[in-house]
Amino acid sequence: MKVRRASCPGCGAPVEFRFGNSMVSVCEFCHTAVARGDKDIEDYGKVSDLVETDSVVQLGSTGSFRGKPFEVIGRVQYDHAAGGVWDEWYLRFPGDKMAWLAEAQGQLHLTFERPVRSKSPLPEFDSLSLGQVVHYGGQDLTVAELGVAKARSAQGEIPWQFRPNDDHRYVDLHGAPEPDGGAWFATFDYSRGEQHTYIGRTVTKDKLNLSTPDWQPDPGSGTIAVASLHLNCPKCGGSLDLHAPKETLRVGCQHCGALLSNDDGRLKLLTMLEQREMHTSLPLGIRGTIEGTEYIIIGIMARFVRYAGTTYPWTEYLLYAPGVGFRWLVENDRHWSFVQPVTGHAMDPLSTRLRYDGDSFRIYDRATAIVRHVIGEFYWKVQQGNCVETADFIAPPRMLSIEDSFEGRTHERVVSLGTYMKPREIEAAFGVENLTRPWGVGVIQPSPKIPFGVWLAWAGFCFYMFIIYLGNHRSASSATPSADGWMLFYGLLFVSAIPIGCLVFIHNFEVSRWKDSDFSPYASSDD
Amino acid sequence: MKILRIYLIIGVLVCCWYSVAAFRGWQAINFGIVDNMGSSGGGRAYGGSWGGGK
Repeated sequence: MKVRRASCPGCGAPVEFRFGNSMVSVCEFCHTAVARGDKDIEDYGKVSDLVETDSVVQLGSTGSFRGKPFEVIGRVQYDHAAGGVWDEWYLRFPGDKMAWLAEAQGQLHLTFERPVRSKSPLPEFDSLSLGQVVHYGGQDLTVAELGVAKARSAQGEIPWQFRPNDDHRYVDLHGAPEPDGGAWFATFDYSRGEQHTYIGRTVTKDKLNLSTPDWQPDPGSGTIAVASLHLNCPKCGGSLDLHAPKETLRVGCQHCGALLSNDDGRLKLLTMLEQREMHTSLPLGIRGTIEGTEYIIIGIMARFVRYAGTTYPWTEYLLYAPGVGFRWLVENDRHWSFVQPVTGHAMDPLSTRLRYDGDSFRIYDRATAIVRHVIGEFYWKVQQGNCVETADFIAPPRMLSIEDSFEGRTHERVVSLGTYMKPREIEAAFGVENLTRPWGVGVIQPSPKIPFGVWLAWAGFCFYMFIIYLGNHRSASSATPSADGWMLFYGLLFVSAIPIGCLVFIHNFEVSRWKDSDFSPYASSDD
Repeated sequence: MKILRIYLIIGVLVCCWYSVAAFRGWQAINFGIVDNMGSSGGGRAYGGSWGGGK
């Protein structure tokens, strides 16, 4: 391996290009992006400080994918249009083969560059839209996100012409999920007037067999590493605890209703929120364990949809666990569900059924969800009145929710999976008592289970009565009394009352579940 | 499972009751439903006359 060394044009410190594919190297001392030209090096300017993102990999990490070892040699951090950042790591495999590992909201996408042939160029950026299916590389891929991000910062060696603050025009596409839990994933990159494609798979951390480097990043290398922060609201002086200060972009003060921006722990008043009253069943800052992970409620968001003059509100609790990321707890009509992102899958919100994880999910509702109020911290630039297009598909006790958001030139589709939780499970998880019980039927509340033994016993009782009747049915001239047919009828009626009652109850339960849906299978033609 | 237990108890009681009724030839109370189904019933034309005359 031929290592090329140069002096940083910013500070004179040594800068190395250790790998043949490295085009830009970031100076460890002054954070200048140094580009390797044919004859000389070039100063691309200083990069911003990296935002610590609780990434599963770090510079120098090693691992293996499908038996091939790799080393993490660089990283670029992008600013998303909706706020927040995501990391793109560069993995060097044997033979200087490079892979791109994108990491966002706990999902990992490992891709390899595939050349774009001039005879078959990519579809034009502006011609693509959310949900569009593109046949590429032998796969049907669905557009899950398209937008323009900003390459804000970098670290290590970069295998492309990274320039700080350059726009990054991209389209992310997802393939259908596969039995092993993975899925195809591709990125079309339209930056710098060129076309690049990266195709690969959504992977889990386990499949990368990661090991942390022997050395740890220098604390002064530009990484901002902050634990939780205790701050005061600049408007009212009330105390605010930030549990994920590295990722928090907006803070809603629970004391005065101020919406604040967070910039490295510096809070700034943006606006005062209207309709400040917000009744929550769980308080901010409470900790609870769900599916073996301890989460803390760091934000609470009230949202609603309006339909035919009626407002349907619900409350979402933003959960955070270091190393795991963000999850949601949704309270709707006092019914609860635990919501987590679905890995590597894009779905069509206009379809009537979706298949996922062995279940068929049926369309329940499509609507525009609006943010009514927020308190606590949020990892995106939330605002009162923010709208997203939603489509909910149900297969009780689970719900698939598709949310399409439009932020400037960036369109994003997020799919999440909600699982029903009983109030007593919430009480046990968070150590609270006396949560108000729901009255009506929840959208994904499981149907009451009637034991199979009831149906079996029903058949057995009916069969027994018929046998007894036939055994005792005699002609009218017979001396011994004959079994009466009407007595059989009443007997069958008595043993059938409970099973038939169960059937009616289940039917009514399902009718109630679908009562607020435009897609109810029980709707009459008059509805 | 609670409903299964309740149903088994009720079902067994009903079957016992019916077994006794069948062996002893108990007759159900005649509500007259079947009797009325078999007859041609009344009606305005019953008897071929409107009931007029002397």
